[in-house]
This record gives sequence, C-alpha cells and structure tokens, in this order.
Amino acid sequence: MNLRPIIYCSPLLLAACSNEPESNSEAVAAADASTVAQSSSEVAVATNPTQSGSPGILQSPLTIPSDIITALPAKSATRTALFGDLHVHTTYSFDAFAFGTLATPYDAYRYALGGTIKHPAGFDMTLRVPLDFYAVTDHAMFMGVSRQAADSSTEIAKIMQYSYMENLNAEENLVPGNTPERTGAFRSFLGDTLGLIADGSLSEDMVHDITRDAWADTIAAAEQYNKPGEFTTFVAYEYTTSSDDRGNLHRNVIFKDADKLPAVPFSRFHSQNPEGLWDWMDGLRDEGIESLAIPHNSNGSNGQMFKLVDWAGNPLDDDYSFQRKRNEPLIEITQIKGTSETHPLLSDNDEWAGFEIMPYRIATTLYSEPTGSYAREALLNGLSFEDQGMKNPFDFGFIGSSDTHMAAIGDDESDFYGKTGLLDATPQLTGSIPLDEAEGEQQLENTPDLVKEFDAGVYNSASPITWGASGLAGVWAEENTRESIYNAFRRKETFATTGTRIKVRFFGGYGFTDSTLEAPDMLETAYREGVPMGSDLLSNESNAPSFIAWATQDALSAPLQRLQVVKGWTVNGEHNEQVFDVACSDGLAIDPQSHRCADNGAVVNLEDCSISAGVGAAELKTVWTDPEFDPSVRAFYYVRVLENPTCRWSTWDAVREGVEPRPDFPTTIQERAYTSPIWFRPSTG
Amino acid sequence: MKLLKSHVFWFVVLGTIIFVIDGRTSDPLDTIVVDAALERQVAALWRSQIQREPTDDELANLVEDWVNEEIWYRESVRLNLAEEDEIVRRRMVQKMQFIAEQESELTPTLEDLRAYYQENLSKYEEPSSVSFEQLQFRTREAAIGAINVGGSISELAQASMQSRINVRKSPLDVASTFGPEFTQGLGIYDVSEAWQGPIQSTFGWHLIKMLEKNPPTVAPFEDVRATLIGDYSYDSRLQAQANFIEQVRSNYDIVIKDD
Repeated sequence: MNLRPIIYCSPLLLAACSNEPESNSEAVAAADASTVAQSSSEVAVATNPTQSGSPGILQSPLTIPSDIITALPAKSATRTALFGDLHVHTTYSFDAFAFGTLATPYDAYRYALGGTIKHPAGFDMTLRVPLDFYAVTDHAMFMGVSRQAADSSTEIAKIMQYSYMENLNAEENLVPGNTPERTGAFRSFLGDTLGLIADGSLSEDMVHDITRDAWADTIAAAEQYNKPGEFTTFVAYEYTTSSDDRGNLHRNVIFKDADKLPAVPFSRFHSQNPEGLWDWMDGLRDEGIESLAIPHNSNGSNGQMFKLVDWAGNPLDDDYSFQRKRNEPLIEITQIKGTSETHPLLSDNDEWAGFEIMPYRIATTLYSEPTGSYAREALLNGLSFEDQGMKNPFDFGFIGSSDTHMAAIGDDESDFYGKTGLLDATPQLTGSIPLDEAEGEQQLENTPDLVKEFDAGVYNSASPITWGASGLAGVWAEENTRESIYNAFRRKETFATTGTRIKVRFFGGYGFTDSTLEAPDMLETAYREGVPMGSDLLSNESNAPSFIAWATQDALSAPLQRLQVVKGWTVNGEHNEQVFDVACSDGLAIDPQSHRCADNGAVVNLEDCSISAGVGAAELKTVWTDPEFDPSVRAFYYVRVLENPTCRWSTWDAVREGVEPRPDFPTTIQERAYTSPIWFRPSTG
Repeated sequence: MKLLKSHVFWFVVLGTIIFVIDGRTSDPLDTIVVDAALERQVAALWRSQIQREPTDDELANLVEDWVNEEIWYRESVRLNLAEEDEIVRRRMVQKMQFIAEQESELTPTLEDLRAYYQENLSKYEEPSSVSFEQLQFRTREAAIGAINVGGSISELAQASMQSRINVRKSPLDVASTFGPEFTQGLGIYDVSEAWQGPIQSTFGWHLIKMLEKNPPTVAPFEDVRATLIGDYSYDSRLQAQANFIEQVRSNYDIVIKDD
C-alpha cells in the first residue's frame, strides 16, 4: 500500500506535491545533474516513479550536495575506525513488508544518522550513537512488489488478488503478533507470484517495472544521504538464494560507486547458483562497475556455505577460488541471527565458542549442520588447499552487521527491537518473558512445539529467542568516503563487533617490541614495517613474527576482560586450532600452560543488570609472539577481544518485567570483536 | 466528539436491533445465505492459493465447506466459546479500538502538521555537535609538559586508538568514543587554534584543539514531514482511544473485590 505517496499527495497537500520535479527515475536515467540533485532530495515523489528506461546499464549522475562543508582536516594516514551496518532491510523487501515494515530506505538512512523512526508496532526507535556508514540491502526478488500487491488500487494487486495481501499493513492491521495473512505474505507471496507469471496471468514486465522503480528509489536514497567526509552510504541489495535442502546461501552485494549501476539487481530468479552471481559481477566489473558480495548466516547454511565442492558437485579448482576471492573478500560473521565464527562441536577447546549459536537453517526450524557452516573451519580448509599447492578459496576477512528488517538496527542489549517487525515486537513474542496465563495454556495445547513451560509460565520458544542484539561492521579507513571505506573492504582491513563499539587493531611483522608499542609513532611504524589485519605476512627466513594486538572498549559499554589471538594451522592435512589469551585486564597473569588469563571476577547483578565497578580494562595492548611458531607451517591468526559480562537482551526484558530470566538461555553474554585474520605464508611449499 | 457519541450510540442501537431480530427469527431454524458474493469470495481465495479458477464441482465443494464452517462457527458462538478465549478477546479489543480510532484525523492537513510540529519541537531536535582534534598522553603531566614545550606537539603524544580528527560528533558519540566525563569536560573549551587541556578520558589524558561548536537545532519542518505524519497519526489514535474510554467507562460499574 502506497500510504506515503497517498498522504503526501492528498488534496490538502497537493500544492506541495505539484511543486516537485517529475520523478526520481531521472536520478537513474537523466544526464542533467542539476535536475537529479533536485529530484533526489524529495522523498515523496521518489516512491512513485514512472520508469520507462531500457534494460542494461544506466548512468546515474552523482548528486550535488547543496550544503556547505567547512574545510576540516579529515584524512588520516594511519586510518580511523569507522562503524557501520551493511545489512538493512526496508519496506521494499517482501518479508520486511510481511512483518509490517513501512519504513523506506530514506527512513533507514535518517535512522543511521541518529534520527528517530517508527517500529511497525508504533513505538520509536533511535540509535544510541549514530553510525559512520550504512547500506540498505533489500531482497532483489520482487523488490518493492509486496507493497503494490497490498494496495488494491494498483494494477498488479488487481491481477494478484492475494487475500492475504489485502490491506496487510493498513493501520488497523499493524498489531504485534503473527496472523495467517502475514504468514501468507512471507511464505506464499514469492511462490504464488512465480505461479502467476508461469501461467501467463501476470506479465514479467509488470513485475520488472516495479522492481526497477524500487531499485531506482534505493539508489536515489543512497545518493541523497551520502555525504563525503561525514556519512557514507552504499548502493546495495541482498541476493537471497539457498540450496535445495534450504541451506542458506544469502549474500549482500555492495557497489563501490553509484555513477554507473545495473538497472535491476541480479536475484535468485536469475540463478539459484551463487556462481551465477559471480559471473554477473565479473561481467559488470568488465564494464567498469565494481562490487563485492558478502555472504551471511553461514551458520544456517547446513554445511553449504563453505562446502568443498562447487554447485555442480565437482572439487574446487583454482578458477573457482580466484572467482570466489575476486567477488567475496569478506564474510559477515555475526548478526541478529547468530554467530558464524565457530561452533562448540567444531572448536571443543574454545570456551567461548558457544556464543549466540543459532541452530536452525534460515527461516525454518530444521537443524543446520555445523560442518561447512562456520568461518574458522573454512579458514582451516583454505589452508589445506594451499598445502596441496592450490589457491585458497576461503581467505576472507570479517565484518558484522544486523540484518534488521525494520530499517533500524537493534545492536543494544538493553534496547533490542528484534528483527521481524510485528512478529517479534514484544518480549512475550520473542519469548524473553512468559505469556499471559490464559494464552500460555492455549498455546501449550495448540502449538506445543513452539512453546516451553517453566516455573514462571509458558514461553514462546521459536527462533527469536535464539537471536542476538548484534552486530556492527568496523573498518580502518583514511576518511569517511565511499572510496576509502570500500578500499578497506577490499584490503580486508575490517573487523566485526557484536554490537558495541570496541575498536581493535592487529598488525603482523618482524621485530615489533614493547618499545614499538609505547612510541608516539607506533602506528606509522606498524604500517611501514608490518601488515594490518586482512593481509598476508610472508616468511622472513626462520624468524618468528611478532604481532601488535590492541583494543579499546566502547566507553558506554562494559570494560574489556581479555584480548585473544586465535590461531589455526594445518599439519599433514590435519586441522589445528588454539586460542591464546595475550593480554588480561586488571594486571592478571596468563597461565603459560593453558594460555588463559586468571578470572577477573567481573559479575552481573541479575536484579538490575548492573555490572562490577572497577574491574576490567579500558584498553588492552600487547606485542605477542607465537610460542608454538613453526616457520614451515601455514597459519592464520586473528584477534578476538571480550568485554566483561553484561546482561543478554532477554535478561533486560525479564528485569523490566520483574520476572526471572528464562532458565534455558544464557542470562549474560560477553560482547566481543573479531579482526580479519593475518595469514602467515611460509616461503617454501 | 459528537460523531463519536453517535458511533457508540449506533453501535448499541444496531446491536439491540440485531439481538431482537435474531431472537425472533433464529429459533427454531437458522438461515445461512449462499449468494453470488459469497461464491466470488471463496473463488478468489482458491485462486490465490491454487492459481487458477475453480471448476463448477470445486466451487460447489468450496461453498459446501464454507457452509459447514459457518455452522461450526455459529455453534461455537451459541456455546459462548469466544467468552474465555484470550485470542478472540484480544482481537475484539483491537477491532473496537480501531472503531474508536476512526474518530482521529488520519490524514492531517498541512496546518495540522505545522501546529503539531510547533507543539512538539523538542521531538525534532538534533543534538549539539563539536568538531575537535585530539592528542592522547599517558599522564596529566605529560600532557601539560607537551603544551609547555610547544612546537611539534604531536610527536610527544601517544599513539591513540581514537581518531585524531573528530568531525561534528554529538555528545553521545563523543561519550561512546572517549567516555561520559570527557564529554562533560569538553564543554568549557572555546573554539581556538591553540591546544587546550589537559582533559581526561576513559583511556588517558588529552589535549584538544576545538574546531567548531554547533548548538542543538530543530530539524526543518520539510525534512521531518514524513515522520510528522507518522507521529501525528500515532498520537491522535492514542488520543481517540483515551477519549473513547473516558466516554464509555462511566457506563461501567467497576467492582474491586478482595478475595
């Protein structure tokens, strides 16, 4: 339903509407930059474009910012940490619309800048601290079509006549909870629409035109809010595919620039096989359109994301590896639907491996097999390829992002909005507090598989309770511009956090010492004589490398507890991994046998979520040398840094409600950050 | 409010009429009407699920199913099964609230929006911001020493994780990076080319060069028009609900029992 344009263009506001320039389709098709600057600044008309462009590559001139920026020195040779989110859905995604989301890409960017927008259930959402960069990534499949299908005045709604879509998000239907209509809009919409196209009752052109307009509007929004030096947006979308067994193979495609872009995004409908996406991206690159894809939720891939054969089932060869690396330098390691770093079944010597594990295949309650689904194991498999003299298909870096479906991310444990709009809009719906007694009894009877009973009552126990308030993408960039941030993605000089603004540096080199660490020009030295996260470190005769690992806390979150280096290596094809604590808070010592810091005793008061005062470190910094270094062995190293424990979002909900936290989920978590790895490459072999 | 009164009034009147008619005609035989409109409705539902028109036989079956379902439904109503059902109760509450909300102005005029904006300016306030350069030192003394040395002051500073240049940062942004105390302390420094301080953060001591200070501003009306429409209609819906309860609550005698 086109609520916004209707309201804007109601007779009472007609004057305001008619004053505006034609439509945002010009933002894509027109060559006159001044027209574009005008039209892209108008939100109202941008949602109702009339596109008649030709397929293929369209030119989109850059917006000319109308405001004046005071000249401030901004570039930093030693780079600055910037935080952002590269995974955000708005009303243009079919599922977000099914969840009640009406927020547009414009709303999303306003939110990222610190503005307040509405949750589908009507309450306000504001970011604790504004972000430095943001990318709206709506599903390419039928982008924007759901909105039109729900608006009975549109041509396509008259053809579709889906009873579940009718007035789906009219005001009276924006009520927390699921309904058969919302289930229909989520589960049946894509299939029903494909069916109508297949039997000829719906023309493919009509669908494409709507998607083209939604995509043009997405581009216009990104262009309007991109402000070099202060705030960066990327034109982006989600390619949403899966294997036949519902293994998740989703990727976000991020475009470097916006001056030249494809007229429609490549979706699962063009190829179920992600290799098809890479072919398309390679083709665009040949035409001067640079992009990269970031896989996410490998945890829900049922072993498909990092499997050791290609789509056709053939062993991976160098061509495959080159193409994958060229297009996918990064993966999203943490988001609302859980962590993809590693799993307790894969890393049984890592006490922190069981963090925010989401056990299902995406959008199902089917179990997802851990093998082939987690990053650390894939990094190890990558080393094995190199041991065999082949290219490494899995030498990726890490970012985090949210995957919100309400345009607004929920990375703050104390103020978590969930991610599926009306479906998880209240603590009872997520399952963090018990249902009302009568309803609990009913659910226990009607849907016993989806609830659990404890002393305090009956709790919803579907997937939302397994989700986490995570995550963020961190980059080390010279300045806050598309160019600088995108180059950081390509260098893999990136890190992931589970929602807090921990900053973390990691350099590998030879001859770093404690005095390097204390010198005023430490960063200049580190960049000059070493390599940052995301890089290869070549061997230096048989010298052991030294690593600078350094993290600071989010000054509004808990202090840091420990700084760790995670090492993976292969010997005769066998995988090895070891977690080393390398710096401890509160002057505590590391046990040389177990490589663990002594317990700093930080605790959480579950009555009110307050945390121990005076325990933990604002900053942890060290030069570390691998005590088990072998110059002939390939290895990767990445930093993981842990905060002191804090309340999990579900505990915050329970505290606010005045009930005990539910007993089957952790009451506290340790927020953390992960750097991209540094790979040690021996000179021989 | 006149209209609201009439809504409630008609609600009661119609309810009474239906009750009376129902009482007279439904006994002993209930009537279930199958007409063209109903056939269209079940056929549309079928189309959306099966993607084709039902055949005549299928349509007859669909209608038959619908009639049986209607009988189930009426029997359940007769047995008052809705009475104890939390889901039905909630749905009825929502429907009634929606009727009450019809009284609110869902499509505000430009004047309505401007008035609302003026009354709620604080909602659209954008926080103050500062731009500054910072250098970090291990101790207070080292920072003071660096000021006194002058010249190449940055060579005396520690490497800092925090950005040297901070452009247009809100107080919360500064607090997230340097800590709440630093944010408060920053207030006393005026814009100047000179290094000032020392000032303490979560991570150490700093000298700062204040580049600009921007007071809080209210976002221009045009920039927040979309938000205003949302806020306005949300508030007026809540107001309409409150008005309704205020009107109708007096019809109820609320008895609080101590068990």
